Amino acid sequence: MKEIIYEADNYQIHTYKLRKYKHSTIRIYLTRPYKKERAAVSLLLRNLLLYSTKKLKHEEFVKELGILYSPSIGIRGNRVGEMSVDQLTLNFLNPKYCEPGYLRKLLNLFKDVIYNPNIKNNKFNEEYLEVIKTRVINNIRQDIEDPAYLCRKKALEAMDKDSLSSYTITEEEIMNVTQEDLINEYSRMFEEYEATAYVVGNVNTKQIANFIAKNFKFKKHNYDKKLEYYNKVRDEVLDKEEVGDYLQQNIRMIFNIDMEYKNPKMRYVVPLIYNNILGDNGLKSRLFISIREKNSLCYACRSMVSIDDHLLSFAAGINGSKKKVVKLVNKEIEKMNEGKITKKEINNAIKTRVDILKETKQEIGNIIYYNFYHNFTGEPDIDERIELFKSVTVEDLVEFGKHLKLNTVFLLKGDDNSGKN
Amino acid sequence: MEKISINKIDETIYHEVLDNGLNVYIHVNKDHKVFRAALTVNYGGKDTAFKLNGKTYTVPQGIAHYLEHTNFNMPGGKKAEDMFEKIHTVNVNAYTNQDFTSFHITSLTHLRENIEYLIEYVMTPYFTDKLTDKERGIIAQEIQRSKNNIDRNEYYSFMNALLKEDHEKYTVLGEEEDINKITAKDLEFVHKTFYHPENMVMVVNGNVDPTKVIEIIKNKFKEFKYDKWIKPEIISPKEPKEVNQKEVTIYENVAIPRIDIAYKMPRTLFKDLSKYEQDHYVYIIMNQNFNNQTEFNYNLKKDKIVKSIYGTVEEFDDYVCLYVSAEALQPDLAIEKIKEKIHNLELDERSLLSYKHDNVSSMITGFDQSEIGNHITYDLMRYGRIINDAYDIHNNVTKERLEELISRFDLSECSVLKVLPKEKRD
Repeated sequence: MKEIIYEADNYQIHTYKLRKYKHSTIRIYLTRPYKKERAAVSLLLRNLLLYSTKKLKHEEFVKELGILYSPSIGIRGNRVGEMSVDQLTLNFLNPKYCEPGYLRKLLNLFKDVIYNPNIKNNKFNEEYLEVIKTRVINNIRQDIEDPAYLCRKKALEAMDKDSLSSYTITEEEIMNVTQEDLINEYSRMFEEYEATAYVVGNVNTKQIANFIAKNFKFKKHNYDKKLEYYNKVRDEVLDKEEVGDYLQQNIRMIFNIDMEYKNPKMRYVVPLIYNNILGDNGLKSRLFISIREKNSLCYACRSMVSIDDHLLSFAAGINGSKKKVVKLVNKEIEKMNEGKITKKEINNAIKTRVDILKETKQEIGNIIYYNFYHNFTGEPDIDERIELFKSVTVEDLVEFGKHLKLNTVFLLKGDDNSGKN
Repeated sequence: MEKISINKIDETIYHEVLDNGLNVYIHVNKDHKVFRAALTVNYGGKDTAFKLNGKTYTVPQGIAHYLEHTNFNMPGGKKAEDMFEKIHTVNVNAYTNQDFTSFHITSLTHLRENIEYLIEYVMTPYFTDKLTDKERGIIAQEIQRSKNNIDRNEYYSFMNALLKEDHEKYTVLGEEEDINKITAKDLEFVHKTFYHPENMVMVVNGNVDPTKVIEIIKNKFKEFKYDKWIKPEIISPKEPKEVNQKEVTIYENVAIPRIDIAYKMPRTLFKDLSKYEQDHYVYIIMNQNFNNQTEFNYNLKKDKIVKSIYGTVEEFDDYVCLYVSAEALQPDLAIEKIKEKIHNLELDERSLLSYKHDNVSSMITGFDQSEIGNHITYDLMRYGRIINDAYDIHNNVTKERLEELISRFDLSECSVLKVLPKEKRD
C-alpha cells in the first residue's frame, strides 16, 4: 500500500489509494494542548458546526446529507495525556456508485461545515444554540440512567476530583457558555490547532488532497507534546460506597500504574498483554473464570487499561459480596505478579493481540489511526507493534504488575426499594 | 450450488441445501481477512408451547436462552471455548432473541477447524444436573443486570401494553422463578426437538471458498445421525386486534421521562404486499414523518417538548405497528402532538429521495462489513429468504404509493407508555 504525501500550508496530507472498500475517508487530526476550562465551549462549538451551515438550516442540512448518500461527518474531541487530539472526519460512499457531481457537492458541504457556519452578526443561531444546550445538559442529567457509567464516573471522582481522568463537563459549565465564548473558540480553531490530514479509499486521492490543501487552513506550532498524565498514588486505599436506585450493585476498582514507561514495549504492548490475561479476554480471562465461572458472583466483568493516564480498572455488576470480589481480583493480580503465568496464557494473549492488529491492518480507520500516532507520538507502527507483542515475556509482565497500586474501590450499591413499580 | 444475485449491487450469495436438510448460505468477500460462521436454530424465546406427535408441551419461559448458555458445555468437563482457544478463534459467542438462537465465531485462520468445532458443540447435547444448576446463578445475575436496564424495562412494559396474548410480551431471559424450574431433562428435550439440521441455517461469510465450506460442513455432519425430523407445531396464541392496555405508566430511574406510542394494525390491511414490504414501507412512512430532517422533529425540540424522538415500525406475526418513541421533557404534550401528527402523516419528494439514497448507501457498504452474515441470518429467520430485491423494493416506491398505504391505516388501536422518574411515583 503506497503512501503519497502532499504538502499543504503548514501541514501534510497523507493519502493511500485503497481499492478494497466501497467507502472512503477524509480525516483531519487537530491537535493543541488540552484545557479543561475550555472543554464545554469546545463541545458546544463542535455540535453547532454539525447542526447547520450558513446556507442550509438544520432540517435542510440533514436532508442534504441523505441526498449525498448519508456520509458521516463528525468532529470528535479527544484527550491524550495533556493534549487535545480532535478529529474532523468525513466517511462517504465511493463516487462510482453515485451520480456525476456528487463528490464536488460533498466536498463543498464538508468545507461549509467548518468555514461557513451559521453565524450572523457575530453570533451563532440562538435557537440552535438553545436546542443544543438543552440536549447536552439533558445528556449529563441522564448519567444516572446507566449505573455502570455512573459507577465509573463516581469512582474516578472519588479517586481524585481534580484529575484530568475524572473530569467531565458539568451542566453549569454548559449553561455559562456565551455567544462570545463560542465566537472566540471558533476563531481559535484556525489559530491554535496543528493539523495532519488523511485521504484513504478508492477515490482520486490527489484531487481530494488538492481540495483540502486549498480550502482548509491551519497554523504551525511546536507544542510540547505531553502525552501522558500521571494520577496521584494513595498511601492507603480509598474504599467508598454510595447508594443508588438500582437492583444490582456496580463495583469499580482503580489501580495506578505507578511507573515511567521506560521503553515503547513497556508503554504500548506489555500493559495490553497483562490486561488481556487478567480481565480482557472474554470467556477465558482470569477474572471472568474466577469471579463468574467459579464463584457465580457476576454475569459480566472485565478489566481495562488506560495507558496514557497510567490507570488500570476493573468493573462488574455484582450481587454477591464486594469483599469477596475485591479479594479475588487482588488474588489474581498477586498470582500474576509472582510470575504464575503460563506460557499458554502469554501465547494466547499475544496471538489475540497480533490477530486483532492483522485483522484490522487494512481497515481505513486503523490505517489512519496507526499512521497518525506513529508520526505524532512516535508510537510503533502496526508491524513494529506486532514484533513487540511477540517479544513479551513473563518477566515483562511481572515487572509491569509490580507497579500496580490499588487506589480506589468504589461500590454503587442498590436500594432496597428499587424495582418497585 | 445455487447463486443468488443481489440486484443492482453486484453481490452474490451461494446457497445449498444439504441432504440432512440444513440450509447453508455463503457470502464471499476476498478483501476480508476474517471470516464469520453462524449456526442458527429456528427456536427462540417466544417458543414456549408446542405440539409434538399430537401431545402438547409447555416449557418454562427463558428456556431457549438457558439452552444457549448450557450448550457451551461439552462431555468430559470441557467447554466449547476450550476447543476454540487452541486455534485462537477471535470471537466465540451466541445470542437468543424471540425468534431464534444463533451461535457464531469470527476468526482469521483454521477455517476447517472453526466450522467443525462450531457444528460439534452446537449439535452435541450435554446437559447434567450439576452444570444446569451452576448456570442458574449466572443467568440469575444476567436477569438482575437486565432489570437495571431501563431500555429493557421500557421495552417489555410496552410490549405488555400492546399485546394481550402474543408470547413476545415476555422476556427472552425469563424471570428468576421461570429459570428455577428448568432442569437438565427440559434442556435435553428442547435440544432434541428443535436442534435438527432441517430447523437450522448456517451462514458463512468472508474470505472463503464456497465449495470448500460446503465440503467441510457436509463432512462434519456425517458424524451426526438424525432421524427424520418431526416438525413441532409452535402454539402461538391468537392475538386479538385490541391492545392490552391503552395507557400505562411505569416509574424508573430516568432523568428524562420517556414515552412510547404504537398503533396496532392487522397485516390483513396490506394483503397485497409481502411481509418485508409491509414492514419497510411502514418504516419509510414513519421515518419520513418523525426523523431529524422534519420540521415536526425540530419544533418539538425547539419548544422543549422532547429531547429526542424517532418513528419506526414494530413488527409481529399478524400485526404491524406505527411506533414512535421519545425522551420527553413534557410527556403529556408530546403524546398529544405525536397523536395529532400520526393522524396527519405526510410525505415530500425530496425527503423520500434523501431516504432512498441513504438506504442505497447502507446496502452497498453493508456488504463491506463482516457483520453482513448477521443481517443475512436475520432476513432468513424473519422473512424466510434472502431479500435480493431489496434495492428495487426501496427505490421503486413512490410518494403516491406510500400515500395510498397511509389511506389504509387503521388508527383505532393505540397504546401509550409513560416512563416517569421514580420520585414522581408519589
